[in-house]
Amino acid sequence: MTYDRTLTNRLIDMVIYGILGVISACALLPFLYVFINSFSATEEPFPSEWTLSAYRYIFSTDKFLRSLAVSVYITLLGTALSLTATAFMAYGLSARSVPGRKWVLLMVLFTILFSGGMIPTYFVVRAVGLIDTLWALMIPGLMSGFYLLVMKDFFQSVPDELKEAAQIDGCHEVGIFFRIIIPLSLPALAAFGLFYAVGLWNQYFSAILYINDSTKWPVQVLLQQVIMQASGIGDSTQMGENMSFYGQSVRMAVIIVTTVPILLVYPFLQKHFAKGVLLGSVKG
Amino acid sequence: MAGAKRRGKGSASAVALLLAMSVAAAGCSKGDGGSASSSEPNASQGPSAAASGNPAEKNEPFKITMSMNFDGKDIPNPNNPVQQAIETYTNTKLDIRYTPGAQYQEKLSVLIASGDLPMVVASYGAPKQSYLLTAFENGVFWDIAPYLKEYPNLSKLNQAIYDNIAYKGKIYGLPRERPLARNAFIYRADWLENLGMQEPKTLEEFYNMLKAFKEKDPDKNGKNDTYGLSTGNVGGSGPEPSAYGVVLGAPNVWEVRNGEFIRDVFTPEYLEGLKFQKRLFEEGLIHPDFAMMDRPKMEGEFENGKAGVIYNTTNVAVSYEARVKAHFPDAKISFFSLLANDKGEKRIAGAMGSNGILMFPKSSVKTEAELKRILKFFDQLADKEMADLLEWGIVGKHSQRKDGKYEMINQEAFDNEVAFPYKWPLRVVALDAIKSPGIVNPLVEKEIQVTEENKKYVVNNPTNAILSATFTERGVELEQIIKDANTKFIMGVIDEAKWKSEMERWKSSGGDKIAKEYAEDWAKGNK
Repeated sequence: MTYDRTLTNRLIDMVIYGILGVISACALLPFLYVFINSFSATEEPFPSEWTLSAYRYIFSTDKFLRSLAVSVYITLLGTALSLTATAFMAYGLSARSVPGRKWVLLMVLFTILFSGGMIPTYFVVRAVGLIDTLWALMIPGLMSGFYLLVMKDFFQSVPDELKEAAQIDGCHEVGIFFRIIIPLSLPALAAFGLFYAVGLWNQYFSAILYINDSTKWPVQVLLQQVIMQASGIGDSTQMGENMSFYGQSVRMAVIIVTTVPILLVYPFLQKHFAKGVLLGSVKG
Repeated sequence: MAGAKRRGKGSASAVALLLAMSVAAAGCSKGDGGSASSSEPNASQGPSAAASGNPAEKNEPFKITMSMNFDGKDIPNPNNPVQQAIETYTNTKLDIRYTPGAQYQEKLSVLIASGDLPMVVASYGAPKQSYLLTAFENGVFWDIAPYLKEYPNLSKLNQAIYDNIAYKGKIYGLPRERPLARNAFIYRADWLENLGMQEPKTLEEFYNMLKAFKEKDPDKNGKNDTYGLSTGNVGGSGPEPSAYGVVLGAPNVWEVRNGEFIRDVFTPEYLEGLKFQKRLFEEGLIHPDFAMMDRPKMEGEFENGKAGVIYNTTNVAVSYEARVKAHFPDAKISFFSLLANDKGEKRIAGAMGSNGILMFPKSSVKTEAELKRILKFFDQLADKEMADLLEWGIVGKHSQRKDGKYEMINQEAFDNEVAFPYKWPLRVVALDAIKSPGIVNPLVEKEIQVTEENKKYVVNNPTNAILSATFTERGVELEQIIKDANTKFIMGVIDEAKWKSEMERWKSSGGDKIAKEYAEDWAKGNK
């Protein structure tokens, strides 16, 4: 690496590193604070007593593993379904020769700007028979209009010559899609997959609305329940004598439990992610 | 998957399919919702229907579907022994859908709008929400008032509680009884002993106690590290100024004088109560940052031996005792509810007396006979046998019998398996007086005693049973004006004149209208 190591340059570097350091500390410290306090036995900025009781409390419900499994299931399957559906439709819409394409695009745009609202959506979900099934958490939000449009643009940025070349070599449309387009679009798929996954993982209110059977609750609903009880809201103020509260640390522990699994996905997608987001800007 | 065969065509047709599906769905739901919200007329409740309902009831268990709020931790499996015991005793089959308490209201509004209602629906949270009132107006739910007298336990309930939930003279649900007045000052009895003081009887003695807790080192650790009362933001988790105001003679939020409605903030006693709090703040008897304290923080102050008093409901004293003892094993906790003012009067603000109501939609409870069967179920829950089950759980599992008296052996399992899933959401009548006696923590006995004694001094809020459209719509926003002004006044940010002008602002921004609407509703005899 050719690098001019003059004093000014080094100073500038130091300033830049300093600024970056402060920024990353701003991002990290709150998380560290949450992490440390989830082990705290007292209500202090820095705990003097350490305990695992918050985690013990969270894991004390026998539904925990079950609802975690539900969340993992809907996240994995839901992301796969969402990506498949979005990619298929986006690819179709990326071809300028498709008749009625403009109208479909307009309709998609319409859904971005206006939504039916909670109650009409509930009607639809009920009429289709999805109430009390995990599909209710995956199907209604299957495609995001916005991601669809971005992905369509991404597909359009793949040069037509590439597709024509494949066609000349005897490749069918399906082949083109799976052998040319998909491999080229992995960064975009990874990025949107992550967006979808985070959305599905954090799903909460739709589960409240559509799922009556508590054994099918995703982990977010269960944890909300746990927090509520720990902070003594509602009839839980009617607590018996052996019930102990760990208000603050339970809330912190819940944040850790809900964020860490989805956070673990980032490092694996990181390289695609940066590329997927960048690609839009480097195309000519 | 074959959709991508031809460029775009597949996805286009997929869109078309989705569109068609949603149109069809919308069509279906219109049919369903329409029939429910138009509220089937009571045509089907003829005598024949009532008669045909009876024989079936004797043999086969009657199936009841319910939607309930849930505030516990684990929702039980429907085949658990507690539910089975309830089902056997009442000859029913229960199908209960639970929703977390915090989101229950939102879900309920969707359920009502969709007409997708089970046979029993709980209303929870603020009682007079507009979507409920609309549903009442549209006759979605049964008016149970004419039937109540047939049920020995349900009819025993304090009439004031029914009055508080009534809407235009009709009762659209069974109240889940809670004590009318159960707010209490929970304090460190060991501190009081250390100081050689007596439990305060008057507001002035209460002040002296807080002062001594701050200045006389009640925990005997030689450090000046304690203060009097742990309180949160005014109107939030701490004692509202009205708590002191009411003691001093102010009304409980509203008062009727010659048919006119007077808001408490316009009475001199209220201001006096506020000044009392200001004095506590100025002398450091409450936390200087009280306005920013949330509930866990506020409770932490008491738990960690910083503050000597906390204001909450009588029933949490027991859990505070356990929490304080975890840090200070020798601590003693006690509480009191009533304080006398300088005229020697004892007064305490009353609440609704119930925590939500259980409603019966006409769309799912089709006949009068069915309604009566469901009411009978709730009546039976207040029989002695059910009272013992709901209060003591299952003998051998949650409690044991000692010399003919019950004793709780596993409180946590009881809370989790009996109290949260069944006792709190389902029972209508309070069971303390019905259940068999038991060996309990003295604080629990005191709780029953104190709430019973409070009944004599309850100051009721006359607007519980009447309506103001403006309040339903903008009440929360308007209350904020008062709350903010109170906090600022206590902290010395604004003076009395400014506080009064804020109250005038409340009046002109809608308070006046609320008072007028209440007066009109009151005049109609909706008392």
